[in-house]
Amino acid sequence: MGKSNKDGGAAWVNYVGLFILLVCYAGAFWNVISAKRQESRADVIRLVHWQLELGVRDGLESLIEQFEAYKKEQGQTVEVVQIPIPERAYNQYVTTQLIGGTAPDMIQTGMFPTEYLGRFFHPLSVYLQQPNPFNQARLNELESADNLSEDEQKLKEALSSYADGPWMNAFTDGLRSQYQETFQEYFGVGFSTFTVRMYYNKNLFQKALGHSRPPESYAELLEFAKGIQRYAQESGEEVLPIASSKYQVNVFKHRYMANLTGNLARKFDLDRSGGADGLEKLMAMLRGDFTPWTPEYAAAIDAVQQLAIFFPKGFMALGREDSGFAFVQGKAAMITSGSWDALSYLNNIKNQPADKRFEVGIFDLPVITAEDEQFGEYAVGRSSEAAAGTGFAFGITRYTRHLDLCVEFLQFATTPEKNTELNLIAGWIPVVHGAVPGELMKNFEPNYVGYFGATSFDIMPGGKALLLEDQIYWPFISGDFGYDTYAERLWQALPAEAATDFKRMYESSKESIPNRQLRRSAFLSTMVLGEQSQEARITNEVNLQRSLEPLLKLMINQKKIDHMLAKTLDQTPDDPRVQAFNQAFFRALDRETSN
Amino acid sequence: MFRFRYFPFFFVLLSFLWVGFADESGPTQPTDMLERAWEEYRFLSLDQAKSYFNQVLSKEEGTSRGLEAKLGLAMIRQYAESGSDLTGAEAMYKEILAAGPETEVADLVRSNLADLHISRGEKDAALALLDQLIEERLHSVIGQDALLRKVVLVMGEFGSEQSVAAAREAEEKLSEVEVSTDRPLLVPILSSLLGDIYFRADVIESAVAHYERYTTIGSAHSTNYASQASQLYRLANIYENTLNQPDKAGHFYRRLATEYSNSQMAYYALEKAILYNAITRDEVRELRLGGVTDEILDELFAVKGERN
Repeated sequence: MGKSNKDGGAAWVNYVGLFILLVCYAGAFWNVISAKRQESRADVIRLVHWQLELGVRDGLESLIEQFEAYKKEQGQTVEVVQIPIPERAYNQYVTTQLIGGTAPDMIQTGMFPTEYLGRFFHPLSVYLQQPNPFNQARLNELESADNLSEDEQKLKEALSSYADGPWMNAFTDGLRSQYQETFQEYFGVGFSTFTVRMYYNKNLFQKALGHSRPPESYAELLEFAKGIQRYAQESGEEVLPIASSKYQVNVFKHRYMANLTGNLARKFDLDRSGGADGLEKLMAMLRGDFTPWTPEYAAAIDAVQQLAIFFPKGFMALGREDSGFAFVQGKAAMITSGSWDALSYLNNIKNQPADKRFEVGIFDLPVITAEDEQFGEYAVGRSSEAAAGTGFAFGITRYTRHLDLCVEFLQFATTPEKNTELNLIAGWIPVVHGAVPGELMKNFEPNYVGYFGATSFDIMPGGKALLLEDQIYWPFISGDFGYDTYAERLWQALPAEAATDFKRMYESSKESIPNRQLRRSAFLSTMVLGEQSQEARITNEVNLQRSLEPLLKLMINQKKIDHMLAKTLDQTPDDPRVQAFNQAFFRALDRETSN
Repeated sequence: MFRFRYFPFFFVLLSFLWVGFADESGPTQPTDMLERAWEEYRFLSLDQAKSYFNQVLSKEEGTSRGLEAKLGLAMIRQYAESGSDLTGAEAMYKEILAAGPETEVADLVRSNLADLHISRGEKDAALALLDQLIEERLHSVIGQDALLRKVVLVMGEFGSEQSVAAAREAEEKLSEVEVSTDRPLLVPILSSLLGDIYFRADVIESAVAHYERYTTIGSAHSTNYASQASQLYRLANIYENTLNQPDKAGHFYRRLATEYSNSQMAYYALEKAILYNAITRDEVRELRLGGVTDEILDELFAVKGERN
C-alpha cells in the first residue's frame, strides 16, 4: 500500500512537469505563430533597449507611432515593436539572441562586449556619410514657406548648415562617440547625450545659508557645505550637506583629478599625441616624475577628501539610489548626478507631501581656479565636455531582413524636431543640431569650454594597478588612515601590479594581431572581388586603410614600448625611492616573464 | 494509456516541427552562396563561410566562381584565429596561382602568401613577394599595403639607423606615387608610419613632413577622426615646443580647434590658436561652440593682446 502511494506521488509530479513543459512549448509556439502572423500583415522591425524609465519608453513610442503613420501614407504597412529589457538581464539576452541568430532588427548598443559589434552588426558608415533625406525634405519645406516663426527660422538656419552634407554632421558630436576605433566603423546612431551636474535644495540653502544661489568656486562649495553642517548642528534638523555614495565620490574624484592633474597628462605625453597613456604614465613613474607625492596628484586627492567630510557617515556602504533618495526627501542639501536622473528626482520631489517639497537648482561642479588659495597653483581648468558624445544609440543587427527600413527609421528619428520631441518626453538632452532641449535640460547642455587629460596610476583599463589604487583609496577616503599611509602603501605595492599590467599590454599587442589580420584580409578581398564601380572601389580602399590603422598600431607596439623603455632607463635619477621602485618593478617583471 | 517513455520522441518531433516552421531557407544559387560566404567571412563567422565556400566549390570546380571559393577556403585556413592550417592554405594558394587567375586576384594571393611567410618567420620568402608587389603594383592599394608591411618587417628597432634607412627607402618609393584627397590609397597610413620612425629617431623635420601629409592627404573620413585630431595636436606641439615656429603651431592649433571641435583637445587648441593670432574673434563666433560666451572670448583675446 505504502509503495503504491509513493508511485502515485511520483506519477503526479511527473504529470505536473509534463504540463509545465507543454505550457512552455505552447507559449513558444504561440510566440512564433503570432510573430509570423504579424509579419504577414506588416513589415515588422523590433528594437530592444534597456531604458525602462517611463519617459523614455513613451518618447520612443511616440516616435514609432509617427513613423508607422508616415510609412502608411507612403502605402507601406510597418510595425515597430520596442522590447525593453531590464539592465541586469540585457547582456545575457542580447548575447543569446545574437549567438542564436534570432536577434531583433535593432539593438541599443552597450552593455555587451564590443567584439559583438564587428561580428553581428551592420557597419553604418556608408549611410552616415550620405545626407539624411528627412532633413533635406524639411529644409526644402522651410525654404519654400513664407512667414516663418522665430523657431522655424532657427531650425532653417541649423538645417541649412548640414542638411545636404553627411547625416553624421547633424549630430552635435558628429557622432564621433559611436565610432569604434577597433573596427574603424560606426555601428550606432544615438538619440541623446548626458552630462553630470550638481543638484541642490534651494529651500534648504535659503534656510541654512540665507540665500539660494549656487557656489561659484570650490572654496565656496566647501564654505556652503560647512554652513549647512553648522545649521544642522544648531537646529537639530537631520540634514546632510552632500548626499553621497561610492558612485558620487567617483564623480568628484574624476572631476578634480582632471582639474588638477591635466597638465601632468601633457607633461608625460612622450609621443605628443595629446595625452599620457598608461605606458607613458608608467615611464613617468620609472623616471620618478610621477609618484603619489607628486603635488598635483596629492592635491586632487586632498580636494576630494576635504569634501568627503560632508558626506554621510558610512557613505561607502550606500548605493547610488540611497543617496538619491536622501536628496529627494529633503535630507541633503546637494547631490551630484547625471542628467539622466533629473526627471526622476523632480518627479519624486513632486510626489512628496506638500510640506516636504522643495525647489531644485542645478549647477556645474565648481572648478578649482588659479585663484584658489589651497590648490590654485595646480589648477588647469574645468574638464571639457566637447566629447560628451551621443548615447541611447541603436545598431542594426546582421539578422535583420529590413536593413533599409531600419536605416529609414533611424533617419526619421534624428531630425531636429523628432529628436526634440523624444528627449522632451524622456527628459534627456537632444543631440541633433537645431533640436531644442527642454527647459530643465538647458542646465545640462555640454560645455565645450575646458581642458583634457587626467593622471592617476591606472596603466591599463581594468588593470591591476588601477585595482590597487582603488583598493587603497576607499579606506583612505573613508578616514581609516591619512595621506602618508595611502601614498606609502600605494608606492610599495605598485611595482608588482604595474609589472603585471606591463606584461599584459606588451603581449596582448601580439595576441590581437591575428584577429586584425583576419579583418584586414576581409577588406582586402572585398576590394579585389567585390563591386568594381569607381565609387565602390574607393569606399573599399578607405575601409582597408581604416582596418590597417589598428593593425599597424599592434604590429609596431612592442617596438614602441622597447624604445620608450630604453629611453626612460637612461633618465632614471639617483633618488633611492625611485631606484627601489625600479628594482622592484624589474624583479616583478622577471618573475612574470619566467612564469 | 500515455507512457512517459514516449516523451522524448514526442518532444523531438515537436522540436523538428518547430525548426521546420521557424527556419529560413539560405541561398541556393552559387553566386548568392558566394556572396553570402564573403558576408559571413566579413562578419568573422568562419564556419558558416566555410560551409558556403565548400558548397560553391563542389558545384563550380574549375570555374572562376570555384576559384574564388577556393581562395576563400585558403584564407580561412590561413587567418582562422584558432586552428589555422598554413601548409594547407599555401597548397591551395599555389593551386589558384597555377590556374592563372585575374591579375588582381593573383596579387591578392601573393599578398596573402607574404603574410603566411611572415607568420612562419620566413623573412626572405616574404620579402621576395612583397618586393614583387611593390615593384609591379605600387600605384595600387595592394602594392602600398606590401610597402607598409615591408617597412615593418625590415625597420628593426625604433630609433635605429636601420629604421631610418627603411623609412628613406619607402619615402623614395612613395615619391613616385600620385594621390589626391579624394583617393588617398594607403598614403596616409604610410606617412603616419614614416613620421613615427623619424620622430623616434629624432629626425624631426622629416617626421613633421610625413605627419603633415597624413593630415592633408588623409582626412577624418579616409582615416579616423581621433587619429587626425591627435596628429594635428602633435604637429602643433612640435612646432611650438621643438621647432620654435609659433605661426606654424598656430596654424595646426587652428585646424584642430575648427575641424575637430568635438575633440576634447579642441578648446585647448582654440586658446593656443588665439594666442598665436591664428584665428579671429569673428571666426570663433562662427563656430558656435557651446559655453564659449562673449565674456570668455574677451578673456581669451585679452591674453592675445598682452602677448602682442
